[in-house]
Amino acid sequence: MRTSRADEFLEFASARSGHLFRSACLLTSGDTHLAEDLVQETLGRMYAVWGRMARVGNPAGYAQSVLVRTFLSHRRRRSATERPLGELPDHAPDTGEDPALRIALLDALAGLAPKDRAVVVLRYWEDRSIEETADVMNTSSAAVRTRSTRALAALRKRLGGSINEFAAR
Amino acid sequence: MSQHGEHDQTNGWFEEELGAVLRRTGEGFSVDDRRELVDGGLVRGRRRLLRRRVATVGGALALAGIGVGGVYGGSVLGAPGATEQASVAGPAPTARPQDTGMAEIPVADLAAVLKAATPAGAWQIDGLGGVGQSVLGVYDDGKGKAAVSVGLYRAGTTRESGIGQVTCPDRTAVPYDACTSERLPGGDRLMVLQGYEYPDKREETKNWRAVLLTKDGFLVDASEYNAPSEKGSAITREDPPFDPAQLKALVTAEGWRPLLRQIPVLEPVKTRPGASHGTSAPQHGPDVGETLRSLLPSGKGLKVVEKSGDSTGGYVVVDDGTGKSLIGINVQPDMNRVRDDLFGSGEVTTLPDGTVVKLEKRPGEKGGAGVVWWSADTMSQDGFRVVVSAFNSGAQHESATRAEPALTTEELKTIALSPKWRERATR
Repeated sequence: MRTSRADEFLEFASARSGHLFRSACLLTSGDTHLAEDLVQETLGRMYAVWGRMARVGNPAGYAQSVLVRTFLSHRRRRSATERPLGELPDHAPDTGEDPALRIALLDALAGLAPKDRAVVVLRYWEDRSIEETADVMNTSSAAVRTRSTRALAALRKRLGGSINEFAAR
Repeated sequence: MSQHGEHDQTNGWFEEELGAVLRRTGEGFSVDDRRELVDGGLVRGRRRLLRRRVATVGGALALAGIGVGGVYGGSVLGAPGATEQASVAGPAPTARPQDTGMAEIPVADLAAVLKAATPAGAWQIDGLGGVGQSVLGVYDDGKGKAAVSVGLYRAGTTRESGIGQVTCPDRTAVPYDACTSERLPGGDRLMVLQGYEYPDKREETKNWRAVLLTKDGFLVDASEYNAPSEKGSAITREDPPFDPAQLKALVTAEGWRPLLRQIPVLEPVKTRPGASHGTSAPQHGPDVGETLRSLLPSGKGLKVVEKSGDSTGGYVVVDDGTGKSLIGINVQPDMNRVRDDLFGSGEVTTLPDGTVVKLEKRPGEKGGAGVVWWSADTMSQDGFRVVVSAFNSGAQHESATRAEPALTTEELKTIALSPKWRERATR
């Protein structure tokens, strides 16, 4: 990579890594180690295509899409010769926010299928439309709607009325 | 209808509230060290670029040695000392562009050697006006266009560096039709491998590859395909254009030597262990697979039918007559950081010396039908972790060959707790 490009990439990666990490934490329902892994993988993929980034126009948005795809392919990606690490998800350290809120939401997210969770994160964290979400996930709008409805129903069941209380704070 | 409308409205409120809670929760995650994320991303990006440029065989073992900045070798991700430094050091400079470490050899020079060292044919070379340390082109001898690439690398920093790249890979990881590995007069080493682009052969694209490890520690890595691109093109011919002898002639061409000397010597980029599944710190030392074999229980009639490993992980496939069973091992120093993740739940016992042990039995996760995964995970007080796993199949992605793995969890535990692992690590 030529110097100016590499500089641009480093600037981009430094600026976006925080948001990518937070997105990854939601995607992994609080597994911060896996989230770090996903962000590094995402940045690695971005680095590899950085030379072509000029044509993409919105590298930040593209990186978010790469992150979600990396997350979704995570299980497939692990090769047959990968060494089992056996790490278990852990929840984020307490950051002063209402821990009950975090735990309830993260647990509820953890109960969703990975693709359903990705739909929730894209739609309600990234504020992507159904169509944009479908595009990121390489699926149809109808499939996103189905997943979205199912995920919302599950979250609602799991969180019940408590979400009103949380949201009102 | 009105009920439906009410339902939608309630859902709308829920969606809004969910959005608010999601944002609040998401914002609550803070990055401990942004630099680590960026550096880790750089390491992976470089590896990815190299992989793409070199177009190596898709198997993990063949790729395991690819490092950063044009360096190959098992230890390029940093020895334990280096990684520890990286994880505890104060503000260190973020990797700068010059650390990307690719040589700036004119692609035209690389292309000239490539053309001179191959049989006559028409060439289309990518990026002819650029610089780098690899060249990619499409060759046409009239019998079908074929992608060809050659990359030049430093093998690493030790005498042993790069040997893995010229050793025929294990067929468990990389299926291939033929592979030869030889020592050439003068001390260089050569591997010629006739394999496939996709290890599962889901497409017919063949990848034939020759890798030369020079005695002064450089790698010349040539790949050719029976298609005009590595991926995504239909095949144009049955085999790639150059036969093994021609591949050998290509990588051993004298023309590469002056170009190799332009490749910068680099310090490896540091990364820390434990943060990710892919970058734990390798240890120096002999093959873990060999030590694992030496620790298999006797008296069970276990026959080792396959074995592989490097300095941090390995496996053996054993068969006691009732079917193949894969036994894998991973040895990782300095893993205290993930102690709670690994041993914070489940049935964990603590030994008198403080070592924690967790035995688990669970379904396999690589898609092999009926595969179970038994493991003994151990970590001593100083974070030295040894985890031994066993499967009831010869490969995790293949169907079960027997009801249970060939070793019990107690036997796995005995292997994991062997002092040999510590002895290896401190050697």
